[in-house]
Amino acid sequence: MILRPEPTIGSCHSCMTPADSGQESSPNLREREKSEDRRRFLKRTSAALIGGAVLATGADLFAAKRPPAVGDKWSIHSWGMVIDVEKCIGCGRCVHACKIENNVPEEFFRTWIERYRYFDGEVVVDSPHGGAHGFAGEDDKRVPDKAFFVPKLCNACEKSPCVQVCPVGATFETPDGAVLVDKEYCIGCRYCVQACPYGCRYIHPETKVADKCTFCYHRIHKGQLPACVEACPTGARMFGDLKDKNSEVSRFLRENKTFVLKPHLNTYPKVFYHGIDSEVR
Amino acid sequence: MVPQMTRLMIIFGVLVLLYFVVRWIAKPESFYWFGHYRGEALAEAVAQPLRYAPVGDCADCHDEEARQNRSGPHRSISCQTCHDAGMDHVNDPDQSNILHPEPSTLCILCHSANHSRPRGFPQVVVADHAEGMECNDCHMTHNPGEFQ
Repeated sequence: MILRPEPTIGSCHSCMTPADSGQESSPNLREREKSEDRRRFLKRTSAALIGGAVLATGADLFAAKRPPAVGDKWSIHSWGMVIDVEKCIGCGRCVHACKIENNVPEEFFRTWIERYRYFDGEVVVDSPHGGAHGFAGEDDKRVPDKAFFVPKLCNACEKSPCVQVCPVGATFETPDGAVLVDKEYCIGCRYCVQACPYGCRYIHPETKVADKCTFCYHRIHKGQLPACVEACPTGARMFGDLKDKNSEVSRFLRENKTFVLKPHLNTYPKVFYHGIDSEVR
Repeated sequence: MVPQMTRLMIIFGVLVLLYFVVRWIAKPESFYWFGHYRGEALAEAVAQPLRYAPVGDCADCHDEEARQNRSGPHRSISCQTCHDAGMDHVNDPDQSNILHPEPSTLCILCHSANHSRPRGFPQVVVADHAEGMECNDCHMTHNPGEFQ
């Protein structure tokens, strides 16, 4: 005898496929109830597991101690750079110096110079060899309406997209405001290279890990200026402590009109530009 | 308590334990010193050696050149802007480990006529200014405002 599904179990009735209706219903239902039980059980167990793990991590976080020797000295500064585009002559010594100081491979750049030229409404932007060999020759016979050079580098964002996407915590904002890559910890997945809205990162062809401008972290912690600032002949690049009201950068920011690149992205860069145009992004 | 509950509690306990074991193995000691990263990476970044020597080191030996430079229009320019990184030279003052740039290729990086340079910056069309000559045929190298 073939049992028909009982009409009292309306909910099951409605969800049954035509294939089900021909089968014995009671074992089927028991099976279903069991699996629902199991599902509820699994849900609760996994919730408890995740909860436990979160609690454990939290407890561990509070327990994490700071190195006694270092203390808070890393956070007494907040480094920043101001670039006065009206002083930049496009000689490329900054790019050259950066390459020497930081062993940046050929055709990769931690900093580079872009040339903007406006010809009757048309904007031409170029950067031959990142500007490392200068812009000695004029390759265009036309005379531009206006033209200028824009040095670019890591913007050391306060809310860095690159830091947010790193899956292993290998890139980070230091307590004094530079954004660094932990070469030992980076897995070379390239997320950060894609995430940087300013195109400031690359994968180093030898180490295969992400590399970028560090504000010459090794130099500024030895009381020196970054190599690009050191090499700039016109003072177009200024570097200093944004927390120090008497520093060159703080004074410049106080007294001049400055702009950051792509402000709509809310990345809060610590590299400021003076004298750029809306075409510069 | 039902027996299957006991079994699950044991599995749960083992999983929690496993989490801590993996964490203990995988988490570097300095992680979370400052934030979600290895704190020692800061010290490692600082340990990178200098290639450009500290400002002022050059004048310790080359006081004559430094004096010439300070009295000319290039007074604000660092020695290493033209001579490249000098840390090797400071550590081992050998004649051959510092760059003596060719004026004909170096000067034009800044001073060849280019529309993109700021107005008022001294620029020359090399062919009109001194065809076939070296810059230092006339200009003093460390004080280009003076002439030979």
